[in-house]
Amino acid sequence: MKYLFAVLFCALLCGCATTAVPPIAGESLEPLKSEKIAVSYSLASTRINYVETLYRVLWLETKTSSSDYSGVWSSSEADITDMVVARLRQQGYSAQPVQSIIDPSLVVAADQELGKDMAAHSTGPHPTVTGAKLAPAQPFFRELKLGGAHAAMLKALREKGYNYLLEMPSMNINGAAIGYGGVLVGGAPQGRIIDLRKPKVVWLAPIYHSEVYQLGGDLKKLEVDDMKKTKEGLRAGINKVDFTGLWGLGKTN
Amino acid sequence: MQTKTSAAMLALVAVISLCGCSSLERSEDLNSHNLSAQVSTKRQVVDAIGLPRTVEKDPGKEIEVWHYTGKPMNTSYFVPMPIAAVPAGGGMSTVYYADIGSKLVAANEPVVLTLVFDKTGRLIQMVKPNQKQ
Repeated sequence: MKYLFAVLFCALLCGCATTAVPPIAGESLEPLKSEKIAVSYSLASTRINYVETLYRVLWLETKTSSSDYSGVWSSSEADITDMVVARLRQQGYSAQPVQSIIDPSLVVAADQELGKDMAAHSTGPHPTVTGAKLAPAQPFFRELKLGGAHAAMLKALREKGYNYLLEMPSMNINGAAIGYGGVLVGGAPQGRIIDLRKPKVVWLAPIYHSEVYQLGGDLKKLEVDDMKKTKEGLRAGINKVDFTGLWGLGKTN
Repeated sequence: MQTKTSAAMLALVAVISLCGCSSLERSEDLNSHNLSAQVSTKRQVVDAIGLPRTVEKDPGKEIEVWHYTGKPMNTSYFVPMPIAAVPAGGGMSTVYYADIGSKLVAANEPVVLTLVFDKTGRLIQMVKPNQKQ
């Protein structure tokens, strides 16, 4: 519960001033200003994890739950990747979703492999959402697996002439009823830039994103109407991410 | 006096009851929907009763099975019990509380509704596993 609140609280604050995270020692992100960037947002599970706090005058109740959206939104990774690409282009970067660069089946295989690896290296079971797992610790994301579907995806991107991949692997989507009718929706992916020539991770940092809507505290409103509010909230949250500020590459917007 | 006390208690119960229903408690939705097999679509199902707890896909049979419990996974309670009051000057006191609420009380979550969809996303079967035949 404390973990979920901490993640969501950080996500809520992500609209505030962005602190630059330097690249891995000896590396530079300056080429991102001019080079084309492949982008991939992946999800280890097709679930939304929920937390809801209810005011009962004399006490507070906090409830948690989880819903599976795979039956209605099978393209979530591709769609959210498109949202990140749109934001990067807004900030002047030459970005493309991986699904439009290489065979989408390679991307699906790579994302599934990465998701399984993340679950296998999880820091532990989620303390309040049964069956869910916490994300691995940061060192996991610094290393690239040799061989396998993920390595095949990196090779295929390199063969298409890309030198950089922005990857944002996340465990799941989060929703929270945060009081006074507010409903928050967001994600807590680990962001990493991979230099595909080496291949090596050259930058690494969490990239929280979220948006809050006045929905009367009703989490079901994130699910109805083809998950319209969830999709809007993810887009709005990602549009607040300042990649230029995170990468320390100059004037932000 | 007794009437005033009863009225005050009723008012307190009413306020507590009205202070926010849980949107994760969906048992009522699962019992009062008007979904129909062979008619309703996935979108209509979600609009009526929300997303399922789990989804199973059977590519061989080209069907998809959704399971609903209608309950949150667990509930934690924050119940502040005053345990001490220390004068803080100026006629004021600092009150210390202990949290005596139970944490992570797991809900009994049997599957109460199972829906089966065909490959077009149309609802073809509704099953209430706990209902007596």
